Amino acid sequence: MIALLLFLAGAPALGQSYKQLLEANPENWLHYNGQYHSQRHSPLKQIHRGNVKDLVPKWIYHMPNASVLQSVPLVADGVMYVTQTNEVHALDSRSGRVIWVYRRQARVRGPNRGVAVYGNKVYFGTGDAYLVALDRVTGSVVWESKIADAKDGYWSPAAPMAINGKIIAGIAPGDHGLNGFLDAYDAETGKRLWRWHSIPRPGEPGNETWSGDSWKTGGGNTWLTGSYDPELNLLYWGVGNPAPDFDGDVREGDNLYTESVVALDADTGKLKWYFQFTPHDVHDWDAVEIPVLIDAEVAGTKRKLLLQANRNGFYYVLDRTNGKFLHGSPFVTLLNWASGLTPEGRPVRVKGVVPSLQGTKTCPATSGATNWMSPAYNPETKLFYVVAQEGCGINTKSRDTFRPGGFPYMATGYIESPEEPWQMYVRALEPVTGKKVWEYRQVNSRRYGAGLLSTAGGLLFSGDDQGFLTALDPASGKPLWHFNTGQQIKGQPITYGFKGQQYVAVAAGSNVVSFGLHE
Amino acid sequence: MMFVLAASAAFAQQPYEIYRASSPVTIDAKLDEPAWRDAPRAGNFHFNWHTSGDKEQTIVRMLWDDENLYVGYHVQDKHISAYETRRHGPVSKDDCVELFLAPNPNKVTNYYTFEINAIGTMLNRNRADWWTGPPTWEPEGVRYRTTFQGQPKKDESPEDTHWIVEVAIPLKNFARDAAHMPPQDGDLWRLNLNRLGGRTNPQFSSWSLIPTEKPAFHTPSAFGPVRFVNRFPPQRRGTAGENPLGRTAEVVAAGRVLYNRSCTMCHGLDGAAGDRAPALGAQRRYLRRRDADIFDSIKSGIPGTAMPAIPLPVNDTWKMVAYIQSLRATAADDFVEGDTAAGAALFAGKGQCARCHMIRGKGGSTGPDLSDIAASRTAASLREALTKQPAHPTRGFQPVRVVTTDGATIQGMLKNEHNFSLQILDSSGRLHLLARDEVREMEFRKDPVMPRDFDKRLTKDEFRDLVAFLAKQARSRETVDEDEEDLH
Repeated sequence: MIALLLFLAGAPALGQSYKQLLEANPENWLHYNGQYHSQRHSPLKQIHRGNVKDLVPKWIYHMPNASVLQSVPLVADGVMYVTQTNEVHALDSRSGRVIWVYRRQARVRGPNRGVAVYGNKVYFGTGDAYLVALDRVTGSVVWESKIADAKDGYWSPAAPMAINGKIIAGIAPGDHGLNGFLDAYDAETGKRLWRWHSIPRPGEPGNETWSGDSWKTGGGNTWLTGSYDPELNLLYWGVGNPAPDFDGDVREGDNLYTESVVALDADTGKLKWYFQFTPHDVHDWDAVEIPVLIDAEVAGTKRKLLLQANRNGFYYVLDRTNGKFLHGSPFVTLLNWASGLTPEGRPVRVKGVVPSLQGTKTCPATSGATNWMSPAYNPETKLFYVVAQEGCGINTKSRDTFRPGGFPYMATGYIESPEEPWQMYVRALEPVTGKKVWEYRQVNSRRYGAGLLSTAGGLLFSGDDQGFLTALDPASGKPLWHFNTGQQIKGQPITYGFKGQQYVAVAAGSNVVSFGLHE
Repeated sequence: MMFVLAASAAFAQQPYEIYRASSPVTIDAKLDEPAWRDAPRAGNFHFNWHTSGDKEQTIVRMLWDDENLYVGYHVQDKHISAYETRRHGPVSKDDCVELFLAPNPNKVTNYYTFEINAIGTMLNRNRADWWTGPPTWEPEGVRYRTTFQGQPKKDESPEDTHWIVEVAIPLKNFARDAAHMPPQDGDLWRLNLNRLGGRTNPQFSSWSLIPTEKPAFHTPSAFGPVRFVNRFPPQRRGTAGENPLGRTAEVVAAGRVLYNRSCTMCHGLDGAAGDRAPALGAQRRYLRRRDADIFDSIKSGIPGTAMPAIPLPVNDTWKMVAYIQSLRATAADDFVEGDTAAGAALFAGKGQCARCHMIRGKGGSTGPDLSDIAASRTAASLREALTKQPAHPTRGFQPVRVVTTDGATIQGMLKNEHNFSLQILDSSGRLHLLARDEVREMEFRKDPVMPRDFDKRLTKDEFRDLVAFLAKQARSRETVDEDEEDLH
C-alpha cells in the first residue's frame, strides 16, 4: 500500500471552526470549490495514476424525486451533506447511509447547489429564498432568515460560503428583472450583517451606467458561489446578466455591475474594486463563473492573481489586489462578437453581432463558452483547467415588459445554430498567458456538463453530460480511467477521506456516487 | 407603471370574501385560532405614494359570525412606536392601522372609522349622512387587542418585527346602513384598510388602491368591495372542509353524543376500537376521508357491507362528520385546550423536555425535534406519548451501547443501522460512523429513555397545558402559509 497523508481519525470532532475552514484538513471537503481560493485541488493522493484503474463505486445514494442534481456534496468529519432544492441529506460518507434528512415544504425552484458548514451548523438557501441553519448532527432547524421575498420571484440556489463568523449568500434569478445582491449573515443568529446591491441605486456610483429607470429591473444576480482571500479579507463574486437579457436598447450604458467580478470587503460588504467583462451585455452571459485565486509570477514579479474563464469566450487574468487587467485571450475558437480586448480588457465589439428580430448568429452561444462547471488549478502542473463549450446560437430580440412577481423578463432568447454542432472539451491553459496546452474532447457532450477536480495523485476528474466520470492525466489530457454512471453529470466532483481511505464522489443525475479503491 | 395601476384597479373589482369563523375567536392579539388560519388573506397593501424606504406589508384577514365582524391585522414593522393613550386621540401619528367601513355599497359616503395604534388606543368616527354628528363616535361593544395593548408607550426597538391587532366589531353598529342584519350570503359592503404613522419609515399604504396624488384615506369612492359568505372558509390542507357547520368545539361535542348513541355498537366507543366495523378514530388509513364522503356513508350506508343508512336530520349527520374528522385531525388542526405559555414553561422547566427535545433551535438532541410535531400527530397521540411506553423505540432514537474493536465504549442513539454499518449519536453530540466489523459488542438498552408518566409527574392542569403547547408546534405550516399567500 501507498503511504497515506491522511489522519487516522477516531470519533469525528465536533464543529468546524474558521481556523479549520482555512486549513481545510484534506479529508474534509468544506467548501463548494474545496477551498477559499477555489482551485479545487486536493492534496489527497491515495488514489493516483498508478492505481486509478482499481477505482470502483463504493456506494450509490439515490435522491428521491431528483432529476439531475447540480449539488456539490460537502464532507465534514465523515458526514456528507448533499442537497436538492428544499432538502438536505446527511450521509455517512463511507457507507452512504442516511443520518438525517431535512425537507422544507416550499415551492421548488431552480436547482440547489449545496450547503456551507460552520461550527455545529450547516447552511443552505431554499426555493422560497430563505437561508436556513440546521444542526449538523440532528438536522434540526436552528434559525431561518428570509433573504428575499419569494413572492417577488426570488429563490436561493447557490451554496452559501462560510467565513469567519459570517455566512455569505447570493440570490437568483436575474432573468426575471429582479435585482441581485450579496448578503452576509451572522452564523450564530441569522441576523443580516450587510447587503451589497449588484445594481447601484440612485446616488451610488455606477447608477449612471443605466439609462432612465432601467436600473430598477436590472438583474445582476449571484447564483454561484465565489471565492475569498482571507489575507486581503476580500470576497470575489461573479455577477450575472443584465435584464432584459437580449434587448439592450431599453437599458443603454455599461449596466454595472452586471457581467463583472466584484471584490467586496468581507467585513462591510463595501465594493473594493470591480472588473466588467462584458459591458452592456445582450447575450445573457452571466459572469458568475468561479474566480480562481492563485499566486504566480507575471513578467518576473510574483502577483496575486484572479483567473476567470468567462462565458463570453475570453479567459481573463486580473490582479486580485486591485482588479487591474493583466491578460485576456479567447479559450474557444468559435467567437464572433468581439475582435479582441483593449489594453484595459474591454472587448472590441464586432458591429452587428447583437440579437435581432430575424436572429443573429452569435458565438459563443448564450449557454456560453463555459458555465457553472467549476474549473480547477493544479499547483504541481501549474495549469488551469476549464470545461469549454464550442458552439454558436441564433439570438433574437423583441420588446418585453417587466411584470412583478417573478416572470421572465428576457426579450426572447436563442436557439442552437444549425451550422455547427455544439461540442464540449476539457482544456488545459497556461494560467498567465492563456495558451492552450492540451484538450480532451468529450465526444457527444454538447453543453452543460460537470466541473473538474484536481488531485495530488496526479489526476484530473471530469464528468460529462453522457454520464461518464473520467480521470485524465493532468499533464497530457490522456484518459486514464472512466466509469459510466448511467445519468447525466451536471455537478462537480469532490474528494474526501474517511479513516485513511480516499473517496471521489459526484452527483450524477439523481444519484450521488462515491468511488474508492477496490480492496 | 401604468400597467401596475391598471392591474390593481382590475384586482380591486374582485371582492374579498369574508367567511364565517370556523372556530371561536379569542380577542388576544395572537390570531392563532383555527378560524384565522383558514381565513384567506386580503391582498397586499398598495404603496401608491411611495418615494423611498421599505414597503412593509400589512396582512389582513376578516371573518364574521352572527354577532361580529372580525378583523385581524399582522403588521410587518421593524420600527414600532406609539405614544397616544387618550381615547379618540390623534393615533395616526403613531404606528397605526385603520378600518374605514361602508355597509351600504351604494352610499359609500356613509362610513365608519376604526383607527387603532400599536399600544391599543382607538379613535372612531361616524361619517354617515355628511357627518352631521359629533366629531367622534362611540360604537357599541367593540372588543380589540394589540400586541402592545395597555403599555404607557412603545419605543422603537431592534427586536421589532411585527405587531398584531385583533378586533371584534358587533355588526349591530351598522344596522342602520346594511341591507340585512345579520348580513346574508352574498351581501356586498365596501371598505378600506389603511396603515400609516410611526417615527422611522412612516409609509402610507392601503388595501384598496387610492388613486389620488397625495395620501387621502378619506376617499370612500376608492373603497374596495367585500362579500359576506355564509360558509366556512375552505380548509387549506387535510380534509376538504365541506361541512357547513364547520368544526367548532360545540359541533364536535354534539357530534360525539350522536356518534356514541348510534355508532358504538359496531365502531366502538369514541371511535377507539371497533367490534364489527373499523374504529373510525384509530391511527389507520381510511378510504373515506373527505367530509362529503363520510356524510354520504352515514346518510346512504355502504352497499355490500354491514354499514346501514342512518336516518338522521341533516345537521345531526354533519355533526357526526365533524366528530369523526376530529378523531383524525392532527393536533395543529384540533381544538386543544390549555395555556400554551404555561406549557412552554413546563417544556423548558419542570417537565425537563428540553433536555432531550429541540423546538425552534432550542433544546437537546437526544430525542426527536418537536418543532413540527403537531402537524403530523393527533392530540391523542401526543397525550399517549407522554403517558405510555411504546412497544418499540422510535426509529433513529434507539438507545444503544457499543464496544468497538479498539476497546472504546460508545453510548448513544442509533440513528441508522444495516448489516454492514451503523451510525450512532452519542450523548455529547458526537456522531460515530462505524462499519460493522469495527464493532465488538452491541447492546440495546432495555430501560426506557423517556419517562412516560407525565400525567403523574405533572398536575392535571400542567399536563393539559403541556399538551396544548405541543399541539401548537407546527413550524412547517407557517412557511407554507406564507408561501400560499393568495393575492388573487
